[in-house]
Amino acid sequence: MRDLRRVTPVSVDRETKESPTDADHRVPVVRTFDGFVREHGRRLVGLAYTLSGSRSAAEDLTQDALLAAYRRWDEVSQMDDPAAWVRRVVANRSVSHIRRRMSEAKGLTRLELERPRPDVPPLSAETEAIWAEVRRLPRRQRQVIALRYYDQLSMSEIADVLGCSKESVNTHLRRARTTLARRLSEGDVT
Amino acid sequence: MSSLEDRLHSAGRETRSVFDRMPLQAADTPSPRTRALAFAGGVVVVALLIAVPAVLSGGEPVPFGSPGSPENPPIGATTSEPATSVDDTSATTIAPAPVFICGGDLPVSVELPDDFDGPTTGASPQAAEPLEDGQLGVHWTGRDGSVEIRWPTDLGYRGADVGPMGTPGNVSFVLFGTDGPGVFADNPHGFPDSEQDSLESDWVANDCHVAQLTVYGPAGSTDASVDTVFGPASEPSVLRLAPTLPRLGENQLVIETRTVEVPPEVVVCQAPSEEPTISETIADPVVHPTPTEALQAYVETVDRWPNLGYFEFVEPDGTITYGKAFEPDPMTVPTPDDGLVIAVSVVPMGDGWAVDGWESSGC
Repeated sequence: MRDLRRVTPVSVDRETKESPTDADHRVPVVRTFDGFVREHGRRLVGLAYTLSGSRSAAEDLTQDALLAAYRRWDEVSQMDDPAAWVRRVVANRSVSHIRRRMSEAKGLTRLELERPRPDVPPLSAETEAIWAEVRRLPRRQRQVIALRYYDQLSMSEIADVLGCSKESVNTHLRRARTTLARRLSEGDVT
Repeated sequence: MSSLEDRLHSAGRETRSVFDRMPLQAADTPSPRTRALAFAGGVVVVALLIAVPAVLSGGEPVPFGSPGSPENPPIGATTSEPATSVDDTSATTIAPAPVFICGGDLPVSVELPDDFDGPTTGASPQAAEPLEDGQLGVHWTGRDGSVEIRWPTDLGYRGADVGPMGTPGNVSFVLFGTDGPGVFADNPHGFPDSEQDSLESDWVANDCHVAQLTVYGPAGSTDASVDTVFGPASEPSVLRLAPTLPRLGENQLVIETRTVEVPPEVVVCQAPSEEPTISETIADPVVHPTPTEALQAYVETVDRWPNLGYFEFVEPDGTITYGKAFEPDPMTVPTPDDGLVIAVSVVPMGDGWAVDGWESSGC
């Protein structure tokens, strides 16, 4: 809890400074938080959406995950793959019933977020129907499908994000595909 | 019709395309949370943290812990007097001795298991940081740790939109104040990387709407978890805590092994009616190297099944049943002698072990 004291104006420096890079500018030595957000933010919102089904909740869930990352950025930025850590947070929060409910409730209090954003086009009916079926799966299966087909992660990468074995990922993926094949065939929208 | 694989890839591609083109929002959009999500470089979280109190109060952004608003009185001001600006030096100097910023009594009734002594005023003896000026501290001491509530939170939280940490295992709550939606708990799975448990408000109207709950484990660590919290949305609020630390280690899939002739039975769900138990025989068992790995892999595939706290029952023929104990009262330590709510059968198969069936109370 004490590390949350870092959420102070001092942290502004962390957001505004440029990433130091090595001599030939190929590899960032230190990742800045704002750079991370620019690179991964939109994709994280999409991941949260595929799992939660609510755009406002997705933004909220993503923001909370980013806030969590920001608070411990010194630690997260040193990870081999900071995005995997944040994806894990987003993926777990997005399948948490209560988290989703809270985020949706917050969205409802901000009516402007409930109006369709003209700058974000809707998904096709087919795609919405597929994600709706994905959201009916058990939580791990949901996460595996979203990480596989939305985030295009490999089995190893999914295992890293979810903190489980590749075998477990394969099991979830196989079960999810079996269920989805049946359900999407029964209620085919194509 | 396209194959499932093609359809999933197509859905992923289209969704990526839409969200990848999502424009950055301007930093002056109405919602502070949206602003925080603006993804415009440099303004992301700072904008959120500074803007929240202002937006909720309808005024200009108020820096953390800034004195001068009735909702956010300066430390040292009495609760019975109007808050004053720090610029008003005369008002500051005549203020009486510091009192509790938010009051001397917690606005909730807190219930803990019987083996916790308290409440005792002051910071937990296990706390690394002393209480701050004007902060109410109350703690309870148990056999293996202590529970502490600070109200308002430590300064590092104040004024910030302290949304849940997002780290699996944390417990976050919305609490205090009449406009909050009540108390929420979120620790469904007991992930091992829990650092702390805190009462937090996602809608921070003022500092007194947020309290901070810390559960200290043995040796002062804060890596304990709170298992269950109940809290009604309306006054008077009652917070019931059932810390798991006396009985469950973090990330402990199996908490005890027993040799039995027959494992305990699965109890019938009592609510809403006595529904029969449900069960399934696994048609395509997946073999894993060890029984616990088989259990671990299987429970992860089932929604709402816990992934820790199982009893292991070894039967004479080598068959193993993993059982989740029926927990009639979350304030007491569960024991399998009261029956099980989940029983998972794991049997030797090939070169390893596999789940071949399960029974559940279905509650």
